[in-house]
Amino acid sequence: MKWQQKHSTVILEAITLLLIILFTYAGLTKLMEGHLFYDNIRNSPVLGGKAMASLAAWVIPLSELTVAVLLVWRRTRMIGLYGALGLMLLFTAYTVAIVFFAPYRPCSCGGVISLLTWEQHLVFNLVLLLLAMMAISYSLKKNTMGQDPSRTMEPKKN
Amino acid sequence: MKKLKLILPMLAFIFAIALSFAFENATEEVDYATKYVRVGSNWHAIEVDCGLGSSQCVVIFTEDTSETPYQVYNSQDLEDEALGSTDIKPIEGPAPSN
Repeated sequence: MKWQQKHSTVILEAITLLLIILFTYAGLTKLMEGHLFYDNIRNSPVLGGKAMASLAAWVIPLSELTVAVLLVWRRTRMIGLYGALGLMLLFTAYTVAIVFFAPYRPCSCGGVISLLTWEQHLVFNLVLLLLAMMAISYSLKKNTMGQDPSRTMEPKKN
Repeated sequence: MKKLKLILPMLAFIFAIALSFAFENATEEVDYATKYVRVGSNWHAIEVDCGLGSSQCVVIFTEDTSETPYQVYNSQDLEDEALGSTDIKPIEGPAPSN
C-alpha cells in the first residue's frame, strides 16, 4: 500500500508536469501563429465559419494557458486537471470527427505536433486523455484518504 | 521537497514557454509566394502559400461577403494553374475589383 501511495504521487506529479508543458506550448504556439490557427479552423470541415474561427482563435489558446497556470499551483491543481480533461475531450472529439466523418482533412499546421498525421494525433490525444483521467483518479483517491497532495503539511517537528 | 513540488511545475511552465518560442522561429518558414487571381478580365497579384499537393490552389477573400472562391495561377496565364493542398486558403482583405 505504501509503495503504491509513493508511486501514485510520483505519477501524479509527472502527469501534471507533462500537461503543463503541453498546454503552455500548445497555447503559446496558437497565439504566436494566430493567423495559421485561424486559417486551420476556417478551413475545417467540422467547425468552419468565420465567427467560429475568430472565437476559437482566442478562446482555445487562452483556455490552454489558463489550464497550465491552474496546474502549476497545488491549490488550483484539481480544477486544472478537470480543465485539462475537458480540453482533451474536446480535442479528441474534434480529431475523431476529422478522422472518421469529415469529407476532407484539413492541414494540421502549427508547432511541432503538426508533424503528426491525423491518426497519430488521435492516438496522442487518447493517451493524454487517459493520463488526465488517471491524474484525476489519483488525486481523488488521495483526497478521500486524507492525503490531498495540495494540502499535505509536513509533520511538525518539536 | 515541498519547495521542489512548486519549483518543478514553474520550471516546466518556463521550459514550455522557451520551447514554443524556439519552435515558432524554427517553423516560421511559410512558403508565401506571389501568384495571381483572375477577377473579371483583370489579373491581380496575391501573396499565398498554396501548400503541398496536386489539387487546384483556390483562395477566398476574408472581406468578400459572397465568399467567392478564386482559382490561383502561377503567372498571368489561364493555362498556368497553381497547384497545392486541398483546403481553400483565406486571404486577408476585400476581393480585388474588376
